[in-house]
Amino acid sequence: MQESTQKSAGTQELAIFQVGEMPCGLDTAMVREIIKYTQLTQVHLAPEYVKGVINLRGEIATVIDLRKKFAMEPVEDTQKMEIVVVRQGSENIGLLVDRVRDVVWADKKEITPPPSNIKGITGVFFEGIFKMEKELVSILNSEELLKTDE
Amino acid sequence: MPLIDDDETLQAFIEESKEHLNGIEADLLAIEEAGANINVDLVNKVFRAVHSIKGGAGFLGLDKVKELSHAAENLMNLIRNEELIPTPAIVSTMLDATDLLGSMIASASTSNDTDISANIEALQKAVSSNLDEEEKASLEHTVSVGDVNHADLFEVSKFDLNNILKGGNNLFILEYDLITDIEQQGKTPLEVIRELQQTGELVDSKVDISRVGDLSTDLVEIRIPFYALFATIMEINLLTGFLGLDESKIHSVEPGSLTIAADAGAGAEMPEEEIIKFEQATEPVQLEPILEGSEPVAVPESQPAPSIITATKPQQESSPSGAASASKATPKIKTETNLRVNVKILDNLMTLAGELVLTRNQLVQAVSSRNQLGVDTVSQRLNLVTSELQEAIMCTRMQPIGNTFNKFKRVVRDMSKNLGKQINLIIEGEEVELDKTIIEAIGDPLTHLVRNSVDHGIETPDVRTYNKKQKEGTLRLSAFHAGGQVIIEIEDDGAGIDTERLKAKVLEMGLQDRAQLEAMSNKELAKLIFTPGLSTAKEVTDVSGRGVGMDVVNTNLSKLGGVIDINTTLGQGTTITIKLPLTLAIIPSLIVTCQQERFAIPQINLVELVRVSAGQVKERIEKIGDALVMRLRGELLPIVHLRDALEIREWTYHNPLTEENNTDRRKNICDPRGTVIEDPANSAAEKSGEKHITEKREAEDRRRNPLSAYNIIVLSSGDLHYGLIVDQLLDSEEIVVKPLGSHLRNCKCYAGATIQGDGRVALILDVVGISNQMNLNVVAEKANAQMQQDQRDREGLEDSQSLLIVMNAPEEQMAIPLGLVSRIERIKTSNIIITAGRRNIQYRQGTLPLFGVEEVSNVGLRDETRESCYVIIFPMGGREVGIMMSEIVDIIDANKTIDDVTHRQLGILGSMIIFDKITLLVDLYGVVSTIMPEWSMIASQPDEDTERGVNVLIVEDSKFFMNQIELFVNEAGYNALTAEDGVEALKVMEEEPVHLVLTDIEMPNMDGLELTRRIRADSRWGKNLPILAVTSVAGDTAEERGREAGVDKYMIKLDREQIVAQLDQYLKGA
Repeated sequence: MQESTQKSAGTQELAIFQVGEMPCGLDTAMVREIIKYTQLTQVHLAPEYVKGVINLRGEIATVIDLRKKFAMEPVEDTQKMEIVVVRQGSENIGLLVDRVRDVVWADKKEITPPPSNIKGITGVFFEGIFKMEKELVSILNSEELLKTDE
Repeated sequence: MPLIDDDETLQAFIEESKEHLNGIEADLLAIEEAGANINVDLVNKVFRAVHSIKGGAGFLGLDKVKELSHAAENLMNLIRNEELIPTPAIVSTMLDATDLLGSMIASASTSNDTDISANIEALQKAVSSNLDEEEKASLEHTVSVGDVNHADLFEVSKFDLNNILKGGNNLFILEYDLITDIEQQGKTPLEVIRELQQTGELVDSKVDISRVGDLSTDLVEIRIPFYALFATIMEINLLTGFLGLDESKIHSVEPGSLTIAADAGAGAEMPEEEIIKFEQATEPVQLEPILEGSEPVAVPESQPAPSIITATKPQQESSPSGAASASKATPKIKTETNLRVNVKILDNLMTLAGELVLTRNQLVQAVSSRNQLGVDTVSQRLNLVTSELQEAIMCTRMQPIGNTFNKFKRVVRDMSKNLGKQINLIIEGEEVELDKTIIEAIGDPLTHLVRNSVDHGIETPDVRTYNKKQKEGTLRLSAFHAGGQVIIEIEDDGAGIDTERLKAKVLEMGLQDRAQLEAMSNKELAKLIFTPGLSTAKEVTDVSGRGVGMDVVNTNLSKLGGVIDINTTLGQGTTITIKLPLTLAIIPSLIVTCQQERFAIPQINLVELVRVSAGQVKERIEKIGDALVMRLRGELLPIVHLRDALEIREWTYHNPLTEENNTDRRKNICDPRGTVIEDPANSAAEKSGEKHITEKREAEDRRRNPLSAYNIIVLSSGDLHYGLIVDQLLDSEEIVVKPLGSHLRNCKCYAGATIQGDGRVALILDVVGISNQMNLNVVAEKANAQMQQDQRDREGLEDSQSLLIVMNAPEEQMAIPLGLVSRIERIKTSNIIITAGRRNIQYRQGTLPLFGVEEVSNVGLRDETRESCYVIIFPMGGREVGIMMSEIVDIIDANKTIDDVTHRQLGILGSMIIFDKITLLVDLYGVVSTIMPEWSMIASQPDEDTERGVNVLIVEDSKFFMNQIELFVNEAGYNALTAEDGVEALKVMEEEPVHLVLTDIEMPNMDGLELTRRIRADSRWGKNLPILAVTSVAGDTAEERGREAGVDKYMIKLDREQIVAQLDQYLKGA
């Protein structure tokens, strides 16, 4: 955990998880739960980034492959991956990530807007960069991430 | 007056009023229809409904609602007393008023802001039109009634007061205390109001908030007074007992002493000042006139403490400040949806819940004691209870569609009036029940369709007269059950859809090109109206054609799992058929797999399952262009592979023999006909692709290897039927439908998802979506064209024959004419009993003798070691006999030439080539009669003396059948004359006496029908000569045609039993 464990106006609680080589952060207020990789039902004809659907306690949740979304190489062994479940409107959406690492309190002062060189196609998915001790965490823009293709 | 902040009461009032209003509309329409023939019951019903609303509204402080319902009540009262005839205009006024009431009640909290003056005026006008001057005036004046402290407690129009007092009623002011008199006695205010309304006339009621004590008041003294102005014929002493109200709370208002003070402003019109005094029964009531902007005209002082009733100005508008304060104080009303459930169903639910609890207890016990048997039993029980519970809960959700239908009475009435059309609306099947959600959701689409029918469909009376139609158009709305679905039909006898204009419009808008349109059938063209952004209305009317189109209807219905279909004839009308599922939540469906993934297909779309064995693939599946079609009972059905529809690119194949998954390299389901004729075994190997690696060792079996068979599910998507190829068929299950997420909204092939017993998600296939995705309409169109071509090709050829293809010895294919077979049974070989050297089996409380073809004919031996075999059962000599076969292959319609020379032998009639194989045609009778000669004798006992000299003319072009039939005829003991076609037959008839004609239908030169007609037309033979037709395919239409031509009886070729029996019947009778 980070040094500032106290909740204050200047901090933001972030769930940190790994997608490929990239550490990503998401506001914990968005995260409903984190589950282990489960049996996934593939949906043919679905957008490429949709990995499939899962049974989340009787509800159907769509699972989005973040590696695909960020145009990364897919992994062979999906069994060790984890699913971060977020709520969008009235449905649950799972984000498939390599592994969940930590939950940290981030000082808002440490969060900077994303540098222009990662704008590109995938750039829209990030709303900021959080500087941790040894690395940089990309904070995800969930709205952009969960947008449906029209 | 501020609103009562009592959610519960308000909610109850809203619910109740909604119910009242629901019925009103239909009743009013019925009243209008009846016209001067006033149906007192109906009028009373409406009256009571408005009356109850008035009562409740008064209590709750919904002043505007009260006012409006009061005005409506007055009008209804006149109709009730037959003082007014409900003309359409009056009914319209009432309808408008009730509509407004409905919307005001729906938004009760803001209802006091509604402007109701126009409606009130209209209602009063309707009332006053029937009144004399004096009464009219009385209508305009209100009278205040009050007690000591509150002179203006009630304001009643003089008209009402007169009406009430007319009936010899006593007038009382009742003073309830909401806390002690109502709440503490376990009553609700609405109940009290209802009670009062049943006993007498509740003129008005109000809650006096101003008298509620403030915080400084002693708690004991806090009371909320509720006043009711009540008219009844009862005396005060009776009333106390009846209402349970202390006598001190009942203030009698004596009509004789009622004071009515004239309004100063309207003084000139008032005949004279009228003062009515009244005596206070128990305590003195102060009379005090209240007049807006004027001093009291008269305050009688003769009485010690009289109360006064004053007339004030007509209440045109209520004070705006009051309305504003009311809206400020309004509580937010939660709109809850309630459902009324039959108590019986509820009881049933309770019982089931009880059973469920018991079952759980048993389960817990069985599990804890590790009693496997117990668990099994309980799980069975649980299964039972769950399904019953499910059914019962479903019952509570079911509602009759009549509620929705009845709304249209009004819609049609109003619209036809607007458009100047005469429309007779017929409603059928109101009792048909559907799930609540569906009922709610179909309202809008149905309204749209009905409006469309009225607006575009049915013509104006003059157009109809010009087109020689009845002046009045008919619109029929009907609902009925069919095949687990509910079908709703909207049928009009209007102009129909002009498909030509539609075409032009579509072309103009560039939605489709000409070639596409030309290829469409009429029905498909009609369906174009569901294209977004299309309206054929020449001009945009108020009613429809505003851009919100039929496409919305279509999408909305599709969302419900409904299928819409349209049938139209220009100038004659349009029928729109909507098929809806009974419920959406739980649907029975078939689980299939494709590439080891499970999919559910709603049973509702399922027509049949067809398995095409590998050997038949080439016969039954062909290609038209790129598209696959299957032959199914003479029709061409478009088929599609599920994995193609879902664009699954990696085709793996699960081989149950090796438990391996292999890549399926098959590219085509079938090769175009004629490419691989040279070696059928090869082509099969090609088709099965990789499979031949594993199957090589059983090479001779390859073509019938079950692995290369296709499972085809025939589905219906509206009119279109198509086949879907899947890998495996699993179980039929009831599934719970769950929606898919927004990211998958664009996947039209899925209707949702469900969770299976093992917790995995299975996708539900959208049958309509798949057919759209794969453009199957186009394929079906082509298939139809191809079929018509085939039909033309086939015409004039030899008639086809339905054959049952079986296997006796392995690889020895045999055929049996299907017409002769009564049943096919599968039996266990261990059940065969051998008695007196003959095989028998116990069957339907009797003994069924069994025979084998090999016992008579020189054919391969049946594998008798198998556990089971099939028995072909057919009648012979008045009993049933069975022929054993080891395997049933298929049933086909073959029009092959029969070779009756090469393989002809005892028990075998001949041979033909089916599925590239020599197939022996079994002579069922021959087999049995060789073994049991005496049985065939029973069938017909040729009587040498009488039957000789009776000539039967057999007309048949096929030599094979000719020989057979000739044999039958001879065996039966008649003389057989033969002719190869109709022309020859007529020639024979010229030369020889003929007592009966037995003719084939399909023949060259002159067919059987023509021959029959000629014979019937010729006076020499006339009507009495029996003409029997023998044919291989007996269909109803064929029989009909035959009967029209004059054929006496239709029979199936090779059905010796029937032919002989008919010959005997016709000739022995003669």
